[in-house]
Amino acid sequence: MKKEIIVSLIIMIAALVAAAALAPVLQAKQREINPDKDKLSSAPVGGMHKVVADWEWMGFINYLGNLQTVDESNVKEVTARLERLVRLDPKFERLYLDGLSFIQHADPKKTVDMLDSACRLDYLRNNWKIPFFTGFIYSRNTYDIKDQNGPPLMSADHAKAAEYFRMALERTNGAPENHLVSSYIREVAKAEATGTAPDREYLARLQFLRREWAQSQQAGGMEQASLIPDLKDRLRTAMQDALHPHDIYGRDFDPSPELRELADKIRQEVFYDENLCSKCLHPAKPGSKFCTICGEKLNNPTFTCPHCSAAVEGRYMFCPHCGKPFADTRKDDKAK
Amino acid sequence: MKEVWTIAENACKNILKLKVVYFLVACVLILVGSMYRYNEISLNRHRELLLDMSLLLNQVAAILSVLSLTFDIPRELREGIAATFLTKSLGRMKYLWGKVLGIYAVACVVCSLIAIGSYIIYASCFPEPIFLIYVKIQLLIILSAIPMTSICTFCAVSFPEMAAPIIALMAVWFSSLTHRLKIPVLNGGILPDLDLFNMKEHVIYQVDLPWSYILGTALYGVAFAVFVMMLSGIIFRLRDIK
Repeated sequence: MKKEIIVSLIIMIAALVAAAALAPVLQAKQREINPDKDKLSSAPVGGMHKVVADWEWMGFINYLGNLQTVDESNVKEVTARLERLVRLDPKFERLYLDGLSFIQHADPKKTVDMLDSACRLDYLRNNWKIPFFTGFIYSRNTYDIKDQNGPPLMSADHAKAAEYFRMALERTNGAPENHLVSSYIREVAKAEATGTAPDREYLARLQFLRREWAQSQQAGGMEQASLIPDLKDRLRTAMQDALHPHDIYGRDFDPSPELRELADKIRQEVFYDENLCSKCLHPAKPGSKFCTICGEKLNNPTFTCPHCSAAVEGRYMFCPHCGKPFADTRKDDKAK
Repeated sequence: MKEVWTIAENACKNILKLKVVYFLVACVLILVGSMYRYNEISLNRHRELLLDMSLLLNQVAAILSVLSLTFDIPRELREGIAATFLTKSLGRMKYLWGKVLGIYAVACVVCSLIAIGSYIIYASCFPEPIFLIYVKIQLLIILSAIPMTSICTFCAVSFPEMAAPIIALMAVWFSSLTHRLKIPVLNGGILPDLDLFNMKEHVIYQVDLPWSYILGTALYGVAFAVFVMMLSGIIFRLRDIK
């Protein structure tokens, strides 16, 4: 009897040691597989966070259905429900995109705080919509729904907005949606615009895109080096906008000499081998003598092949008409 | 060893021949299937709801299955059935192991039925494939029954018949929270860590779970079960059985 108990005790201790040794290893492995696990609520729900989150979500929708609007009278309750949901299921993407949209007008600061936490979650590290939403809130003044003429609840922070739009761009794997790219460029321009000149944002936008272009050239001329796709097209559009600026009321005004000078520099640096109209910057077809968009006379309509005298775009290495190389001729042309 | 298998087989058959078990499994599957109709009330979150509900109910089924030990052992002791066994050459430890293996087999069968049924319901409702990760998580639920069975055995031999199921249920619930106690040996050693078996959200979020982790949790479950079973065996040996 005693022998059996001693054997049992030995096995028991060995098993205890094995379990105690395995548990921390598995706990570490669990954190490695799921780094967001520690962000879960400490509510004693027996590990059933996910199901409780589902029920809470349905309760939240039901609760919102009974509200006419979310304002200062109920924003605390709505926020508390959302925070509870975040703690129960921090990976729930729609909670941030749909759920937080209900409080973005009533409590924008809390909204961006919660969105910022979501941006830093490991599971959502490839989600671009959440940083985009965060940047969108930062990009404008948020006013109290009941007092649109009063002071804003949160003023626009263009630098922050640009930071979040950039984060969103980095998460799109090189295929961002157009509105995301436009928002990023616009917010960088607004953040970098200085002075009081009416065309300061046009100037900042051109300066930023030129900088991006220079960086992509340093990286071997690869446009992928920049987060902004179709950089050349966007530069041309930005130049077109800059040469025909208008104020926030849509009234046209003349661009400043500084802006004209910058546009001209960019034209020489970036579009030196393209035949752009000097007035509207529309690319002209080979052989055109006048712009087909604005009717402006083109100064340098085409490059003429020295071998067959055909009008071709100057960026080719070989003539598309006779097939002969004109690299040497171009050098001569440049020298002249 | 033969005696252990005989007891395990009897314990398993006694429960699996009850029609109420299959009725409850059918009820669970109907409840899981009904989640498909929650698309509007959940703003199109019915897929997650269906999967979460199937995993939750499977976990509850595992708990209820192993909890039957806390009724079975005291009942056999009270009715003298166990005494008949124990007066023979059969040791008390073998009796406990037989019971544990039998009830664990019940938990495996019930959980597998619910898992297979739930998967068929899911596959007929939604196109997103989840097979492998679903199997892994269901396997973790079945593995979680190993330490839970030993906890229930410990409660069955250590506490009065009336209190044993309640204490066992509380112990299982508490075991899912022990990971918050960052005390070595106590956490995961003396106190079980059932949170290691809880990776249910991986099914929804399609995050893969390595087989090495599942194997590790199985080893942990067995090690902890052996520890508690040996402790239960010592207590059971010292107990006076009429």
